[in-house]
Amino acid sequence: MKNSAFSLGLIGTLVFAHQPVMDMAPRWSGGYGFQVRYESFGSDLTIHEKDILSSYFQQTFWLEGIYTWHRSKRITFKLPYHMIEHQDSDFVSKANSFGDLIVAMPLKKYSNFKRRTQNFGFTPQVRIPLNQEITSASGYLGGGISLSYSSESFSFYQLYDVFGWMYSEKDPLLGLDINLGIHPFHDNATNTGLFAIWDVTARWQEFSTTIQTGPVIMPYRQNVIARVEVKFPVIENGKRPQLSKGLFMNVGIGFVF
Amino acid sequence: MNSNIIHRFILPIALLGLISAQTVALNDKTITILKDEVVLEVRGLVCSFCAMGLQGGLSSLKYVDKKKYNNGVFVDVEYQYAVIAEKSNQDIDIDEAITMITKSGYEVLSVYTNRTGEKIEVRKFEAKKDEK
Repeated sequence: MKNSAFSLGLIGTLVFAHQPVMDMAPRWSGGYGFQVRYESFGSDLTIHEKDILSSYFQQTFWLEGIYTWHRSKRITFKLPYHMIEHQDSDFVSKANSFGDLIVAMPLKKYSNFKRRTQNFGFTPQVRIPLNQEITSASGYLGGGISLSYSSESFSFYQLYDVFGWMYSEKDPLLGLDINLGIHPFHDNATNTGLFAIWDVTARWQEFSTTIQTGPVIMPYRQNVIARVEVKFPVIENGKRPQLSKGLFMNVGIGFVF
Repeated sequence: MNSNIIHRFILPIALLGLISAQTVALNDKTITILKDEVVLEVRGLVCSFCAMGLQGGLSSLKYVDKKKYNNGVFVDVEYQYAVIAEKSNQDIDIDEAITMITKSGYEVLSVYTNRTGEKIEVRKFEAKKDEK
């Protein structure tokens, strides 16, 4: 019971909200793409108010896909495979399993300006459990809505995404993602370049607040784009257990056609 | 001696170059419009993946010379234009190119051609009022 309570409080604060492929592509009608990501977070210490409890590590492989049948209408899916290791005193538990499937329909309104393009996004999404067992990372039926704004010029990139999730078996979640970046290098001849972004991620649930921040590097070449990010916590508090100084790492590569 | 070389060789070559290649100023950049090329000024074309999407679509047009550039298409996302290389004496369907770009979510503001190699022809399109 203690483990269950521990886990339920922890996981909800670490939802990765970005849409494939890397929030950017494909924008053209009939375009499609997929990406794989490796996500890792955890800490030797977790906290419950002022008490040190235990360790928790989670690694997740994500397979994600997108189809754009019009630039304003897309459908995406995200399928996770979780590997979780949790130690509480002498008790160690390990669990490997597929997580909940997330299906979303990003709807976007684009505007083109002189040397800049922007879009407002509205994304309804559902989270569908693929197995009956409730673990720390899976087993929750949920529905969510995201409101986003993104603007990109040749030199700058910015994304703001506010989203909320309601779950059948745990507290609702409110999240905010901010990406502010520069585009320091691009070669037209080979369509090769790099984005350097700073990411701020905030999550609120009934009993916890988590704010993480860190750098993101996104190199690309032709139809391939990668994302590497490391985030560290700047605020962690709450009445439920959560990570203490746990790093979040994400490495992904995406392909668009 | 040097003067003779300039008059006999360098000047004629330079004049030939002026006849077959002429320039326009596009978004603060001087661009050479070559014979057998079509240049399109495209609003909204600022990101690398915009370039990739456009390259894929435009290179599939009929009579694109895929030996040049990137499968026949060069996209400049800093100055927002695309160049389509045509096969010699075979013109691409410019209206089809414009439709393809528009369907991809961008706006064509102008099209430059130099069919004869002597004179640049320009087609201008009005920008949407709320997107300047």
